[in-house]
Amino acid sequence: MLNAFIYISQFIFIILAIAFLYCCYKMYGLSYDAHNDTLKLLNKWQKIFILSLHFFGFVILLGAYENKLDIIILYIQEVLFFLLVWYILERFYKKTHLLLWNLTFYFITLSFIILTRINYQVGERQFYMAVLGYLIALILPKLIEKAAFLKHLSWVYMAISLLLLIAVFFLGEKKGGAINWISIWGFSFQPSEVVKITFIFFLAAYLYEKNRWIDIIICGIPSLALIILLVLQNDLGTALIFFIIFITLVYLSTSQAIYFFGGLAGGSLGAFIAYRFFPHVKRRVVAWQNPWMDIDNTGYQIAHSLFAIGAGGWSGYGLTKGMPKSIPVVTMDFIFAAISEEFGNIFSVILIITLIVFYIIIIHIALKTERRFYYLIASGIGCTFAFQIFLIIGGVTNFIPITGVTLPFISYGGTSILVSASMVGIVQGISNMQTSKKEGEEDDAKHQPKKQKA
Amino acid sequence: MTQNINQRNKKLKRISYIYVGLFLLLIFNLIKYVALDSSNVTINSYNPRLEQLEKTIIRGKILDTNGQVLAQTLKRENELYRVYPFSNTFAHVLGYHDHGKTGLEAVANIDLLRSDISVLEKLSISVFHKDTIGNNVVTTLNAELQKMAHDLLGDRKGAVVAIEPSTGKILSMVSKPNYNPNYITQDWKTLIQNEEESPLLNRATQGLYPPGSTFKLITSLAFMENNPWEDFSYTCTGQDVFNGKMIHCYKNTAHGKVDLKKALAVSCNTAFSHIGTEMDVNDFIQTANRLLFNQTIDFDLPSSKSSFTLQENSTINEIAETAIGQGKTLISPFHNALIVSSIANGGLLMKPYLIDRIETYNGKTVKKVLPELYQQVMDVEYSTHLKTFMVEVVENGTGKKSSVDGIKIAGKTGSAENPFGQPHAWYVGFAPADNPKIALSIIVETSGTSSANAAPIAKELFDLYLKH
Repeated sequence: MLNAFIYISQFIFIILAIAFLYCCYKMYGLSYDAHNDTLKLLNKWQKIFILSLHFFGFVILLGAYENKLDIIILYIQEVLFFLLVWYILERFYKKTHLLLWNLTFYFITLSFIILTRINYQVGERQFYMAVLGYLIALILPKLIEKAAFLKHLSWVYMAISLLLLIAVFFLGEKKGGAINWISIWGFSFQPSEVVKITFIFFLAAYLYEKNRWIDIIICGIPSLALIILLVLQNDLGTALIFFIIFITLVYLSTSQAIYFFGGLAGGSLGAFIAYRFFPHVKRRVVAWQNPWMDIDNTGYQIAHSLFAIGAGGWSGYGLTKGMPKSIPVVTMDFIFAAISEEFGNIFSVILIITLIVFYIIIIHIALKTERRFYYLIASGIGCTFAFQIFLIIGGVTNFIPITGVTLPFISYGGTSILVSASMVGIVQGISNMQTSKKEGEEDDAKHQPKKQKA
Repeated sequence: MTQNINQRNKKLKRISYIYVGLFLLLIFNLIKYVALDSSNVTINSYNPRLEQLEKTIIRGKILDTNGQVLAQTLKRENELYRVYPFSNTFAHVLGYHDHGKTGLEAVANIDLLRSDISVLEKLSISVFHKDTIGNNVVTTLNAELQKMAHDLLGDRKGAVVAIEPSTGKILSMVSKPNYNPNYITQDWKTLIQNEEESPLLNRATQGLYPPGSTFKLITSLAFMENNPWEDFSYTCTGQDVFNGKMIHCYKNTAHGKVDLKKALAVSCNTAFSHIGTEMDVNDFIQTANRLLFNQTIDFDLPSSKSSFTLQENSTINEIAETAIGQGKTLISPFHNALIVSSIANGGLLMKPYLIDRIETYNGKTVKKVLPELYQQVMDVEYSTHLKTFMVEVVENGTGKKSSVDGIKIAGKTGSAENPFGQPHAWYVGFAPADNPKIALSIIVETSGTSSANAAPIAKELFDLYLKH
């Protein structure tokens, strides 16, 4: 009977994913006030779809695994957590961007299901980190709204960034090939994740009023230092993300395409040099070109990822029916392959589209933000998410060489989920400001850049 | 100010198009992988899922072209057994499935382990806890023909390959000595230790032999393509010397004055050595390479590369030997079958294949393989001439022993020098000559003349296939 249920649920998951995506489409562009009935209705449906996904997933896990009591308790906690966060958002944040938050819930539900399926303990820890992450994310909007001094701290952000990344060399631990973990008081965390936020804040705070070429160079030098530190720590994915964020924000700030394309050209040169002189970079490129040549060694990760994705086919093996444990680093870097295997690639394609929607929503908020500092932050956060998602899904499907980064909200990782949730909290704060501006509560003129040099 | 914002937003939108474009590439790449590439990836022996599948799915059957069961999995007391009803007969082409996988068991592994039944059927299986049964593989093989070829070879070592020239379907593929796949586990030790006879080797595709006189077809082709061959004439005295190398005709028979047709019909060695040394060696090399020498042939089963080693600076005696199929040239029986098959099919070589279609266990077609052109290997004009010559071989030449009453047969005999004893007997040919339905390549190792050992096998197979 369980098998029949698993079999039927494959189709239910796909239908839920499509239904959720359809609601996203319908909600896009609706204004976020408490009196919009269409919005309220769609929001209610999205919540139902998320809870159904969660419910069906856990029914299967309950049927398939022995530790039934643990699973029931975890399930109830997670449902309560969703309901509580929704309640707070709707009760205390009148201008909540419901779609933005629902998208993160959709991703995190998927994360809860697949991680608990792979390893109960991992699923449980992911849940507790998510609770912490959303706690921070719920406080951040108020903080962003109130703290006007944030934009004056540019070099403070940079100092923190540099300190964190340098600290890795003294306190660092090696995990999965990259030395990018620090353990303090028993907690281990990944500084490069945190630095994503401080780096975006540095660039936004620096660039929102300065954009002469000399300014670009002044902020470019420490940025380059950060990137080099990351490369030395073998955290190539994050290094690439930082690089892309830098050229994107410089382009947005200066409006000069030369920075963007010049940056890309410089970056390509840098990548080529890295390929020539760092054996660990070369290894990944070789594995990408032909993972089948050396399956036992260089091609191991990507070959097993492709096995899983191929095995899933269009409709998937069914939850608990695949072999995700045969995929290396499956809970973190290769989580997408596990989803493809058990949920199928129709579901995966819809997931990628949903991730695009998530990106577009953040950009949509950025577009409506008038103050340059916040506009740059929202753009930076949106592009960080987008590029990171591209890197890891592209890597796992062997479209590009693999670089070890997490899939936001879905991969296991305490720091990753804290940082991702915080970034959404920050975007919500920025979104709040524009709605208050629209109602004429605040004059924004003084926050405009002094003079734009084109 | 609004204008500034509009301009600013234009940049951000532009950037966003790039990001969204990247995502679309991801989707495109993923769909392409799942639809096109993943099926090849899944059968990789490193894939841990295959072992899992073997435990949960009843492996499908392998059938001959008429639906006769060649391999099937039976369940006795919850144990699964793979049974091969024809025992040794299909040994190499079907392969085995313990101790690694070979032959069709390896090629079609994933098809046999997949079930493409409908959604409702799948559902009923999971509700009623029935076994999932993998797809059946329907081959192009003809069990009667295979059995006959197997019996005719008897205890002799050798191989038989039969192809349908117009489609490239492999009708039969026998290699001797062989093994009984039903007892592969019990016999495994003896089989791998028997290095002298190497019963696990598929001689049809992986055995390499000197082509002997069957190579004269290729020499003739190279000659016709580049020279005024109608005027060719040579007087055979039973032997001739080429750059110090003495070439004899069989039993030193003097064939007298021969043209190309006659030379081929009586398999005159001196005439062909003469032809070989007369023509431009580059033309010879070009023709051989076009006929797939020194190349890996694209086929389901692994095959050895045939070799043709002449070069621009090869000596006259090397060329003289090569022209009559001795020397360093080596060919597999499978490759020789492809060459006659292309002559039969007007110069068009069809891609050889073993799997006709994949069906669900209850007979619904999942995938059908269609004949495909491999490449044109010779002009239709020359294939017609070669056909005429080969008919002459059977009617008035060395191939008489392969003739069947009422059927026009085209053939060529050969005996390949064997330093370890009697020569290997070759026969290649096809029938009916005017509308070929079957092309054959036969080799009987260390047996003697073709007319005594190989041509009679061809006769029986032509007779069986075309008359019954």
